[in-house]
Amino acid sequence: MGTRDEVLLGTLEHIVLLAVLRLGSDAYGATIRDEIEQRGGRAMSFGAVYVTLQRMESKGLVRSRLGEPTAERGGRAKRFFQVTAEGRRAVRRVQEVVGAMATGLKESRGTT
Amino acid sequence: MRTHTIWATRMLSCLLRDGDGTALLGDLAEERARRMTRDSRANAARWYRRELYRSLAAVLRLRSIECVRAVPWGIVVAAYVVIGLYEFAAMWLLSRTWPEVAEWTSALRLVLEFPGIIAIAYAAATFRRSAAFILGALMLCVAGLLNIVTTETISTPYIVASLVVGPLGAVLGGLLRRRPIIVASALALLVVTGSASAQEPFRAPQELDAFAFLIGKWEGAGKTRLPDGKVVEYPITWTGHYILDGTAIADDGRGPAPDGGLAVGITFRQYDGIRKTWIIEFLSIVPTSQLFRQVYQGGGSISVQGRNVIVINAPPAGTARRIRENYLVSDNDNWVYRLDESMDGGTSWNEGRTVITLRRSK
Repeated sequence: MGTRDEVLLGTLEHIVLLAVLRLGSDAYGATIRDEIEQRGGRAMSFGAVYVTLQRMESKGLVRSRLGEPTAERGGRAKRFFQVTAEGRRAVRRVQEVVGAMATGLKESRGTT
Repeated sequence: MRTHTIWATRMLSCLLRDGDGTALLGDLAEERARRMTRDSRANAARWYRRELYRSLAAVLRLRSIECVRAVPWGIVVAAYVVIGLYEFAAMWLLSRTWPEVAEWTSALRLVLEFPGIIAIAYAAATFRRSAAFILGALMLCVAGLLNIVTTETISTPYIVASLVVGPLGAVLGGLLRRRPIIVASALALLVVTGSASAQEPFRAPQELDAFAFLIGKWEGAGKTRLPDGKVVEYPITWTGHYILDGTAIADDGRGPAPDGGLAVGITFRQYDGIRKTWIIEFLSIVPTSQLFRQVYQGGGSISVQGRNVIVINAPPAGTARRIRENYLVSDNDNWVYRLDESMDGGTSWNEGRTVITLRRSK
């Protein structure tokens, strides 16, 4: 199966990583949270989003940059996030594993 | 902004890395501004506060989980097990070399174990630096808990030593790994000043060593032949320790009396090096208080035969009754007390009126 140095993703990390991938260049705290809430139906706090992103950044799955401060944000800058190649590989690997594990489950359901 | 909200924002900024706290608060402000355009200002402010505290709770929870996961538990637990084994080894060694300190509730024992704890924590810190500090925190928690739940009588010095020696030793071991020169110099200075300020202990006369076998806790079984010829058997505990700066020995025994009550007595043993005489006095405390001067300048004698000691008590005034106590020491962990009685001034002896077999308490 997997190799030893493979980065493992938690459920929360997986969801946040997918949200960042979907948002592309507009991925920052507020939009990531909204994306998860709208698509996943899961209400995450801003704190949970930032801690998860910070952890993934230390694993090399995402990278971040600070934007320009704006007035509507009280003069505070946005932190934009972007998925790295490592992050994309991790997502792909999880999707493969989940797909492989799920294959055949629907067919077998109800036959027993 | 309310005071508690200010504190919450400060805490969030502290818990998140540089820039993330600002970005998070910016996101909150942005969302609040958006909500104010479609809802009331008050509702937007209420949402802001609720979301701020939700974020703080989430950050605290996730940070706590990260901290617990980051702890090198394997190393910490292994180090704790090694400290436990070290304590048993130290107790075993002390029971043979310095029995009066070989007590689980002895503060001095803990102090003597201090260097070993530093060494174990140092070894743990070589694997993971934080292990020594977590070990110290764990030792502090365990010591505090044990002091609370113990049913044994423990002294204040022991409580203080248990809360300080282990945790401090572990922290010093960790610091020694990080800053070896500074910590080693500080420790050396502490040892040198401690040795310089320590007073030379008074050296008890060597003769007192004859009774050194009494030091420690003893458990045994006694048999006494009563005047009517009936033999009673009873359990007994005997405890011996040095007193008066090690110049005398006090040993007390307790057990059920032949009448079913409690018998408790204590013997004080001292050798007067100037007068070249023994002073042995027995104080019976329960059921009645009586003081017997067994050996002193005016009467009684002691003879030492190998490891065995024979005490012939000073005769009570006006009677021909004599008491001879035999302390028959077989090894460091076993000895027998045998009391002989004479009713004719010591011409003939009724040997073994009382025989108590004692074994060192584990």
